[in-house]
Amino acid sequence: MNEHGLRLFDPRKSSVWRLTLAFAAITAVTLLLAIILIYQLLLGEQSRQVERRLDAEKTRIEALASEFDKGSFFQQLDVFRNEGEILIFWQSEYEQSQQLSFLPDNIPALPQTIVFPVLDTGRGQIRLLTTGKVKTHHGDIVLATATEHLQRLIVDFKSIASWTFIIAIVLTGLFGYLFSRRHLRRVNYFNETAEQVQNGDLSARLSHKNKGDEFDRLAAHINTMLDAVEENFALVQGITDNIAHDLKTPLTRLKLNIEKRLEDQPQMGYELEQLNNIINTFDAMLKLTRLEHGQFPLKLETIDSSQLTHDVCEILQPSAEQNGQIICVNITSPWQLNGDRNLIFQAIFNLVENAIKYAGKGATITLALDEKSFSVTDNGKGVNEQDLKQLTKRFYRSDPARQHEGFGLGLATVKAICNRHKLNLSLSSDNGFCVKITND
Amino acid sequence: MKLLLVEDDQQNREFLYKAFVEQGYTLDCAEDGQQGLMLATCEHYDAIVLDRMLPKLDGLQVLLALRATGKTTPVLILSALDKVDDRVTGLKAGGDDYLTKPFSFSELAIRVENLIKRHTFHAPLTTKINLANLTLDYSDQRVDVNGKTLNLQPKEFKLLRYLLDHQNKLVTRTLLFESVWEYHFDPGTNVIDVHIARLRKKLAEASAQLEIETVRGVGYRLKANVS
Repeated sequence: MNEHGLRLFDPRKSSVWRLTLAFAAITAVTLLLAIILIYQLLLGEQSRQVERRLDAEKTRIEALASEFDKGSFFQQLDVFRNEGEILIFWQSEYEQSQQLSFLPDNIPALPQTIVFPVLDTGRGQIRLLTTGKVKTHHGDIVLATATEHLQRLIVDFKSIASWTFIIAIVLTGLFGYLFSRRHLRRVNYFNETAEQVQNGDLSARLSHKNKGDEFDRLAAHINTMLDAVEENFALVQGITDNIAHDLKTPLTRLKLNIEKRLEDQPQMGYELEQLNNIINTFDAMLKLTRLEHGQFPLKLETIDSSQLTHDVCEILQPSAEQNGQIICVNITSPWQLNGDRNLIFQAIFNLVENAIKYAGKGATITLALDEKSFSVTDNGKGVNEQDLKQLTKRFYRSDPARQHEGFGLGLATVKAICNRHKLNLSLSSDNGFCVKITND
Repeated sequence: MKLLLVEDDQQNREFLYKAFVEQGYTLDCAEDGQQGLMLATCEHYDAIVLDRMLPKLDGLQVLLALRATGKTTPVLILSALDKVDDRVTGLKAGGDDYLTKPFSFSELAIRVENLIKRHTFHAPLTTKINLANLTLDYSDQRVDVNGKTLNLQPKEFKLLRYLLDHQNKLVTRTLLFESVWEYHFDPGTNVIDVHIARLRKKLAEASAQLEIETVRGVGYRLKANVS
């Protein structure tokens, strides 16, 4: 797992953020509904009252128009004009009632209305009039009522409602973002601890409060689980250490004794070699196990990768020559590699040694190094697709007769070393066999 | 030369005692950590061979206590644990060298010898090593046989020098690999054998009166072959 990937994880990718977005959407809809409802209940009702009043006036004027002739009709209107809140204007050949300085042309017929501002010269202020027209056979009568209070209320309401809406959404988003960041930090903390454990630090634990939230309860459960794992691990570790110790003391005796007898009986050399093979296999297995379980602390340093490549080539060159093989070193640019020098050496050594063993006589083995990869390629007979997947497994060897010496741990160890260094190992077989180690 | 051997396994202790005495060392033996620490602080030794896992007092604690008293006696740690971190902690605690069980006595002997040499280092009067008709001069990286310069690769030169430094002694492959190629790693039998074979061939072509003997299961021994 990539450590940086975890730390730089974008809060906007978290599930809490998605919940926040959903929650913000629900809030927006709810708020909108509430605003519409309040508007309808308070201001809508008042608007409708105004409309009803204008409508009632319209009915009255229409009745008057049908009842009276033109002259008396306008007289009646004059009377009306002075008694109610409704302003009445008309234009006729007899007289012109004009309380307003300006009357727009586009006044619709009632029940449609229009709101327009007028300057009341008497009071010296701008008034808002809700206006509609009544069509009679005596001419058009314009009805108007001052609704500036209502209009102001509507404007204020709209402005307050939209600000409330915006602030509510922004706050929901902001808190959601903060919550998801906090949430993510806690999840990252879990991830980091998990990674620590994965890298072999079994003592890593999650800190938590005793009666905390669901995270604390999860942490408590994970800790209990880790306690159990660590206990078992220590038990197994103790057993392997004891086996190693109990086995190695007698092996030491055996080795020292055979070596002692070599002086008089040189043929004991064969027995000693066999014993060494057993010890080496045993050591290689232990080492591989420790590497795989992250119990092998790395001694990190900046490695001179081109020197290391030359060293491997130099040490294995004579062995290759014995097989009539040629080793080519192709260094484009050195790889700035931070790792355990001895382990990286072992990995590259194993790869080249494998190539020498399996590429066949007369093959060319190419070691290529560039800024972020190392590869060993040979032009031998290659490996079939099925074997390719099995090669990095322990004790797997593609030659069933096991005619070459070795334990079948070579590539498994390379794989474990690469994993331990967070490097990629890829095997391919197009022409011959190619193993590539890459960064990321 | 006086050595202190701290090892709890009786058979191994007796074997090592005899083998070191045969090499001309004087030895004190201790069978647990307490006894070992007492001897190490009270007596003077040229080197100490210390087992890592000991009864009563752990090898690492013995080492830490010894270093705390200011003693700089070189210490070689023997360990059955075979963990690299063990090696690192051992060396950090003040150990000078480290050997994993099971080991070969030849390797232990050379490591102890190297430790003592390093500890009581005096600049040698000459930069030349002679054996039979061969002279190696490490100040100007030259090897002469019968007055004729031998053409060697840098690693071949180092290999020959190490063998000459330890002439007539059994040198193991791990020791050679560690000092010539400077990686802590066991490359297996064949790889070093091929390099030795090349060196042998070059020496023979120059008719050097030397022989690199292969001792199966252990390593190599360089000796004069004057016939």
